[in-house]
Amino acid sequence: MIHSLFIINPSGDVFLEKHWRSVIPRSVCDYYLEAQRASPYDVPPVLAAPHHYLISIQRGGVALVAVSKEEVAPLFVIEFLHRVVDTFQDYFSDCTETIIKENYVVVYELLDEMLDNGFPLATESNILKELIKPPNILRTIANTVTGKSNVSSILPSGQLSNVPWRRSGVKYANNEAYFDVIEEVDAIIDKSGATVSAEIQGYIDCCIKLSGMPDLTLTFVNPRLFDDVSFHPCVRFKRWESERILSFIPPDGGFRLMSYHIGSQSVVAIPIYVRHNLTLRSNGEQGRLDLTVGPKQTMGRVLENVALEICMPKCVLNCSLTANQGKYSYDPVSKVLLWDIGRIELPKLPNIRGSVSVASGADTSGANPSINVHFTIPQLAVSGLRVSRLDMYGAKYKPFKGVKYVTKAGKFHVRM
Amino acid sequence: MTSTSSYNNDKVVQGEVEYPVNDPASGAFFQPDYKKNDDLKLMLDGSKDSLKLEAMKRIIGMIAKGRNASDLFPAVVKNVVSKNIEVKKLVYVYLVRYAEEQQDLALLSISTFQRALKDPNQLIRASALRVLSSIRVPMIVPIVMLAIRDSASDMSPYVRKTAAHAIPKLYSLDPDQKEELVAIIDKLLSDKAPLVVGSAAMAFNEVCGDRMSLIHRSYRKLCSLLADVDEWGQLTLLNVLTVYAKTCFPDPNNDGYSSESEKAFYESDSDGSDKRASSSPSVEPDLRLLLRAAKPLLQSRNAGVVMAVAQLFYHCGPAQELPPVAKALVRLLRAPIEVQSIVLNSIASITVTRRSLFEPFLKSFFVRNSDPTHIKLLKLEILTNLATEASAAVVLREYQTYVTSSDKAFVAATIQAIGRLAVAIHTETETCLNGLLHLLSSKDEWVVCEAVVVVKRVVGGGASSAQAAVSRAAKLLRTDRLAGNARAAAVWLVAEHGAKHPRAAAILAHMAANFADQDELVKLQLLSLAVKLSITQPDTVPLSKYVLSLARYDASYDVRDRARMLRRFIDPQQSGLLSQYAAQIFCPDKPKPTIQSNFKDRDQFTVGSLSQYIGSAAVGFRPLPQAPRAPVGASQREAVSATLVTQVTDDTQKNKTFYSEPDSDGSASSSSGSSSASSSEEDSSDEEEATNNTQERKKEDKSKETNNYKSSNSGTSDSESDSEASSNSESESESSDSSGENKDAKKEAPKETPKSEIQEKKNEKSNLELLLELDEVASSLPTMTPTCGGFLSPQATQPPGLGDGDAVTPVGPSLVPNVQQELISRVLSRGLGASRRWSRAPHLYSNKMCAIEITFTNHSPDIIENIRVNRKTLTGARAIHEFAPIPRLAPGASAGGTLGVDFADSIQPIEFTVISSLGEVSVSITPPVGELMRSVTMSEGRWDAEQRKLRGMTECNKQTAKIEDESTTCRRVFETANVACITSAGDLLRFAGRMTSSQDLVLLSVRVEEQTSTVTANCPNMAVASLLANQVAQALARD
Repeated sequence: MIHSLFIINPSGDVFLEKHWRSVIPRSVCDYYLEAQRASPYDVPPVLAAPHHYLISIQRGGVALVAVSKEEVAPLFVIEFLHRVVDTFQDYFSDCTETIIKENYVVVYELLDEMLDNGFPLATESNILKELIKPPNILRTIANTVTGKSNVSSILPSGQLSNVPWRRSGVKYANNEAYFDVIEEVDAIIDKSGATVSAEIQGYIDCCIKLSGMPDLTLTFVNPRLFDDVSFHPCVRFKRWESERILSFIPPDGGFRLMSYHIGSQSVVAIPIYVRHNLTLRSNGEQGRLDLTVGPKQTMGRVLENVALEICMPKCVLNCSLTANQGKYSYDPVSKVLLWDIGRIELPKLPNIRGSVSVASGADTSGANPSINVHFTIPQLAVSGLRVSRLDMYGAKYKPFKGVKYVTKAGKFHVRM
Repeated sequence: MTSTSSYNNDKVVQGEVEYPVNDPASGAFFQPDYKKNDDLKLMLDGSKDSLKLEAMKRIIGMIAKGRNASDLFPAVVKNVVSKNIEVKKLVYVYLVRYAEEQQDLALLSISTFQRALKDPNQLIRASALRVLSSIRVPMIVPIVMLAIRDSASDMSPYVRKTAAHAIPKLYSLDPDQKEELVAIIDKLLSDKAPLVVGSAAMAFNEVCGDRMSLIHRSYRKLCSLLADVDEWGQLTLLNVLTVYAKTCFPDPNNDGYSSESEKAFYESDSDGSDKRASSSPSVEPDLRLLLRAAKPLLQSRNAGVVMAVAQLFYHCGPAQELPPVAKALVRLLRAPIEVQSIVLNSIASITVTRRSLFEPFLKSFFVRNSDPTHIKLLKLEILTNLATEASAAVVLREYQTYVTSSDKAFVAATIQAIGRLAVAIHTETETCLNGLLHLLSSKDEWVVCEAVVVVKRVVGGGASSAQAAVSRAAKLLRTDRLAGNARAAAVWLVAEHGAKHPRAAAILAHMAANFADQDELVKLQLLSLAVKLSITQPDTVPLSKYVLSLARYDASYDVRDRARMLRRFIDPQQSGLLSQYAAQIFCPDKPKPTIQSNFKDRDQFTVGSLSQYIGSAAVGFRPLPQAPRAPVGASQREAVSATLVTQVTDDTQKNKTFYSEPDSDGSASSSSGSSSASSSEEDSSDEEEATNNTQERKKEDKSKETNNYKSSNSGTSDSESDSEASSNSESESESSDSSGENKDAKKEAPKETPKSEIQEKKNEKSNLELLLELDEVASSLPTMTPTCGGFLSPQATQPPGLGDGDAVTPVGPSLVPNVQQELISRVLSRGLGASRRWSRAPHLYSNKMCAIEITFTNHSPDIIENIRVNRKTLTGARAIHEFAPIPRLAPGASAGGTLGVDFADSIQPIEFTVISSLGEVSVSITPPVGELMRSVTMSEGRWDAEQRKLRGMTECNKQTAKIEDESTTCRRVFETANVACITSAGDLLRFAGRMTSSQDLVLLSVRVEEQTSTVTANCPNMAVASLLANQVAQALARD
């Protein structure tokens, strides 16, 4: 179980600590800081100190380090820490050092409610929001004027209900239900342009503002696409197993209804291609770089927000390039060339070319640069998934419904 | 407090705070800090909530930053009674943090929580218990114990959940309480509310994780509840059940499935494999139940739950059901880095033994440049474990990309991985070696070094391509481009495999030319090369001798020593015998080295555990036990869950039909339409059936409604016939069966039905509203009234260890005092006199009331009419049951009545008025504390046990005069208090009673010592304990 939690900023200061059992001195964090100093981006999530075990996550520039004194399922703790950060983001719209410092009382109250003696008590955002109201400007002003506080005086009954994820007594003037189908393409493309592996990771995120206790049913045109799925606890699994429909009583507000995985066994359309040519000469001469990007299987949609992140070999000192579209920047320290292209309008294909200067005498033979590709395709789910209909039971009104499809690049990786 | 401090408050606002003179002991160094805290103190002492809140916020800020705020303890703890809920909450936070350091002061707050524990609102009860149990002060152990015991049988599942949470807290505070806590855990594990079960499993794990016998009874119920428990509870429960399954069920894989059959299962989808698995006879039905309940949880959004299911299937499930688990684990690879790291680690150790599981997902483990190094290494490990003859080519092509990476640690690991592949897969050895040798000529010295080391290992066994390796190494040595380590390895390579090679001598000559400049390691290797050469190619002996003589004058004594030893083999003159055996000593056939995974020995740890990740047993790690040969405890699971079985088998049958049915994928609109119709129809049928169904059936229905995973999905006709059939069979069984259990159920049934009907009605309105488990409550707490907030008679909460013979039984009063006290003076009431007497008998109206006999006497010359109670001034839980009105009282006559008063265990006077034809008279009765209790008797052993539980704050001692005669002592005690005598002779006289209202035990003892005697009173209500001790002491002291 979790004994204590420390939140550490990038410069290695512990700026918040909370203990659920006896106090553990913060010097225990030194083991974490040591590991972090050794390799800032590569800290193992579990560290064994002489008498404690440190389980940590890094998000939003801060590190959350949970301390346990005995054997505990590491994923239990990690999952919980992520839930903590999710909650902070939900409350304060972000989770950074300044925001936590500004709201340390709410943070402390949240942590106190979320964990009892190191075991999670209330982690559903709907319940927490009933217990502790999230701060917003209006309420902050009202609180200062009237002297009221963020802690609700009514007791949360949601904790006791059979749908603990939904708060009771929800009322909206406009009843809306929005679904975002987001698909991320993970791919590795090798030197010659062939696909080494490609997978789709999809999510259905909802923003549901419906009064009362609506019971929703979401139906897909082609549910057989899914390889593997995971659900929010509100989804009735048996119903999915037998009929392949999502039947659920939603939490109030935004949440992730489902995430799915379309694995490497099935064929995945690759919506973009990169033609690259990088020649480096070892004798100190200038090398040449020539990159062209174009749409591949996009089903007639437009690629937007295209950006290329090229990790150059260590020997590259600088680049002088000309792009026919977008802007580029090169960071000589991290050796990353960033080319922000934007929208690809046919028939003009974005191209960047020019010379790269190489450190003289450096070994250029073994360097393998790689490109991380980012793009967005609106109104398309690349897997071909389509929502068929949404039905609502258990409430009288007619809600406004909407579905949006987006395809994005996930870990889209081109080897050069 | 508040009235006096309002001045201070104003001062703060005006900013003219006068700081009290500092304690001279505190150095000036800390002055500013102290001043600041004084400022906070003033704010806390004030009466304005906003200032208090501000102060508390600042204090919490100090705590959060890790600064010491303990000196504010007295000021803060006073505010525990604050009405403002936020102040209160922050005070709780503060209290829990610092109570350990300021134990005495923390005790001040305890009574607040004790009061809150009896609040009618379940959430307040729960939060009081939560904070009370979090205060780590050993003194309050008995109080917490009592609170936990009571809350564990509270009617609200939420309070019971909190009780489960409190158990490990108390256990860590005082491990001596273990046995009693285990009894409570046992009770909570058999709870029917999903809310409670998860926390109970957590408490079980923390306190008595090895006592699997506790699970037998509730095993089937736990399995059926698994889907409804919250995700953290699921995780813990799965861990507990995995250990249980391992302890109690034989390994389903013992029949020995060959790897071929495992492969065959791969191709079939999950449904198919499941069908086959369910027909396989080797799986225990009870284990099957667990596996079936756990499988849907693979779809949980919580990675921890998925891992827990994987752990269960990996360690306890049949091998052919693992592919869906593998699939779910691969899905987790998209989760945040930290999750990936843990999952990859587990996969790495699974793939050591069960490679085929993850073979289809090979491509998911391909490395990206953007991965952090430790993820890359884990993926590499897995890829190497997964590679087979078929996939080796793909993997090798990937490795080829990896070796050009800029991440040095990763490149090194890749080269080693290639080495492992070369050894493991014989068809690829050639290719791998070629690749490695190619790397030998890389320009990166680092790569070369690693490659040479790996080549050395691969070739070690005498691979066919050793010659090629030797010539390559020889070439490298000639160019002098290798670093020390690599060069030593290259020389070793030449010496080991190329001793017959004609170029070996040339290399030795080349190296000998600058022998003095070589590294020590290289020198040592050169020496052995020299010796070997002299054996295989006798014409090189002079060269060898030259090298040895060079070594003789070397700076390093290691080299000199080695040279001295090796010289014997070269120089036949020095020892003939040694050189004869030289060939045997230096060129024997060596066994092939085995290069194996680093994760090989991780198999001893449970998959997904912390110990597995760090590769060594963590504190508190319990390895899974060996599976037994035959199932254990089957009869115990059977016996208790007999009623549950019908439900379970019913369930499994349903499941089977789903699996065997082809996936119905009709047009979406029609299917959704029909499903809605079916669900609504079913609801109505539920309601119809509800009235005539048995208790069992109702519960099932309700669980069906509320259970998100079990919502019905079969067709309407199907489910209806199903439910009818089962209800019929159940009613039949009930009528025919006359076992004790069923009798109990019948007895409770009448009490039960009205409540659940109300429940049913509530469901109609909003069927998913808050549902308290009233059924449960009714069956376990028949005497419960809502106002007493979950405090029931301790009979029901007795730990099972104490047998029935040990029960606490109420007895009649030992002595009824015949003392009449004046209640109404005849002067005040113009002629109506009244006196009262404590009858010490329970009042008929409620056994919480004390009966007071009132005798009215008419002293006036007229008839008094209609004497009755008029106005009652009551506070809190107090109550009065009026005596029967007296219609007329003749002059000089007397008439009696019995008044019932529930004093709610307080000695505050109770006030009411008596009205008659003469007018109204107000009356006040102040009960002596001794009358607030009722005699009970119990065995001495039980008395001692109970007293031990009530140590600490709930004990009160008083010295008093010594009375020789024991019977006198007893009489005096009986006069003072309505208690019964447990021991009436000896040095220690024991008495026992029970509070009428709260039913708390009151234990009184008189210990006779040499000069004095000591009166000790124990009662959970501290006020009662101290009052009683005082009064008894006074009674004994009077002469």
